[in-house]
Amino acid sequence: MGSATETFYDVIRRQGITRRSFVKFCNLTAASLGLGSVAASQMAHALETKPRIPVIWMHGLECTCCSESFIRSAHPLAKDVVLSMVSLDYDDTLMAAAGHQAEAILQETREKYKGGYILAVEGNPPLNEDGMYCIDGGRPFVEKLKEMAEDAMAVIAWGACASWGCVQAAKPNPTQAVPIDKVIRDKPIIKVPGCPPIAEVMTGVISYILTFGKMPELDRQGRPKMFYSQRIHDKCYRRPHFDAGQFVESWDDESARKGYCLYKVGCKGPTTYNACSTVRWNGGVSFPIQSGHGCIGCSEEGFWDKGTFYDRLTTIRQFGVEATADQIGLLAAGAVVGGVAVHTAATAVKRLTSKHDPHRRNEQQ
Amino acid sequence: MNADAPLSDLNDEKLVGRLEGFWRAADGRMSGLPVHNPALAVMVTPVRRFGRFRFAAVVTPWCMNVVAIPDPGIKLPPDGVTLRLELPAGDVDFVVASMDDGDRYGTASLFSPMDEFDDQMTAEEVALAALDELLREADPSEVESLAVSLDRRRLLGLGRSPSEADR
Repeated sequence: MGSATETFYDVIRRQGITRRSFVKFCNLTAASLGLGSVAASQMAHALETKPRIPVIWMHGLECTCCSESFIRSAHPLAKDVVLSMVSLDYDDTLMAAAGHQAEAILQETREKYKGGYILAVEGNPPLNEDGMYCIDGGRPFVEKLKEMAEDAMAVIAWGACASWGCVQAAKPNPTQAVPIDKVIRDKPIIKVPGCPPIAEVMTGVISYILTFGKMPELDRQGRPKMFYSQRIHDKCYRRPHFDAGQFVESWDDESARKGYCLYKVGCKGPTTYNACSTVRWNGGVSFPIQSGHGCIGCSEEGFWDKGTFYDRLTTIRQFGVEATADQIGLLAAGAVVGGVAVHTAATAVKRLTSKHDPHRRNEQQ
Repeated sequence: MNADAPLSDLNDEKLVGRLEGFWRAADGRMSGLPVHNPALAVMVTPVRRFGRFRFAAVVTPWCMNVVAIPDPGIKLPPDGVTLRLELPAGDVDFVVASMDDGDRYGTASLFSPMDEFDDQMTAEEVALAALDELLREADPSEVESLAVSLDRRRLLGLGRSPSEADR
């Protein structure tokens, strides 16, 4: 079990990682958070000086895709860097200990770092039959989850399972699986939905907490705004084809080969808020739409119960980049009427623009 | 200049005409889809120049975008690549795309779909206002402060200028 007085930097240097790689990691992570070079310096300073955060990572009903994503973060040294950043004191999938030894570590961490650890939850608890559909260490998972949440500083809900319920909670939901915020009601919960979430989003959230010592700003649904404030549709590289009325009509047709928009074959990009079309996957190499399949909307609540992956969206109660997920809920069926044009336009432009970054200027200008 | 000339060679009026023609052709393909708002029609605002690009806002029954047309001699990256342009309102990411004849332009989304617009006049007002907001020149006081910050220390990357340190 790692010592909480040791810093992240101490650990990675002991593992032979160079300072150059460390700084590169800080720059990449700051960039993924949408922050500039000052934040990268702040991050480097925090990781060099602050004790690592103890993390308890629990698994309920899930498929482990969140863990698989997490340990595949883009940076070449991810397996060392990511796993060194936090003091991952308990994770029954990744830790060497097992059985009673693992259970002892869980309780020891809870007592030693009372009120100071992060509880990361992958999967969710089933409530039917008093939680008997998910037994962990001889006890219903829901009991252990509530117990560990009591002494946590904050709770992270990894993935669609912990955030919304995912496939386990899809109708008819025989086990009565519920998202963790149905059983943990007195702690702040950061929801990081996706099936799985993007690796850089997961590491970015933890890096932010460690660097700034606070929770990232969340939207009304509890998701970090820095990663979940924009629609896939608005930043999609195939978006010009949507605008030009150029669509894939059936799989592998000529339009599919030309890379046209996948809206007609069920893409859920117009109703999905996530960073896939900007951060992308596998180190920024690609994302589902780029691979030729529509977005399935895996970061949205109840996505399993919204028809098939190939049903065309008929109702898109969204409002371009003018609206965040928050505003969608508030606007509902509102209409833009005369007299508010300037305000509406200003809001849209504000969402469209980002703070000037001198390091990213294009040569064309 | 004929209608087949590259976008960048067209005068402002003909450029607007070409853009409107492109999206009117798309209107036929979009008609009947759930994202098509029949209360609206295709309209392109007069173009505005900033730097080495001309900009216009495009209103259609399914989306409202800002498009960026490069001046002659500027080669845009391939389709689908993000082009970040520094505009008065801030940095904007445009996705590079091609017209039917292969001419490239950049496009950035303002709204999609357009369900919340009940009439064409309001949509056009928003489009014009958005373009104004995006390209709004800094007021004189901002220009003045920029001038102050451009001293030799800043130019050479030596940190804060004496005047800033005094603040």
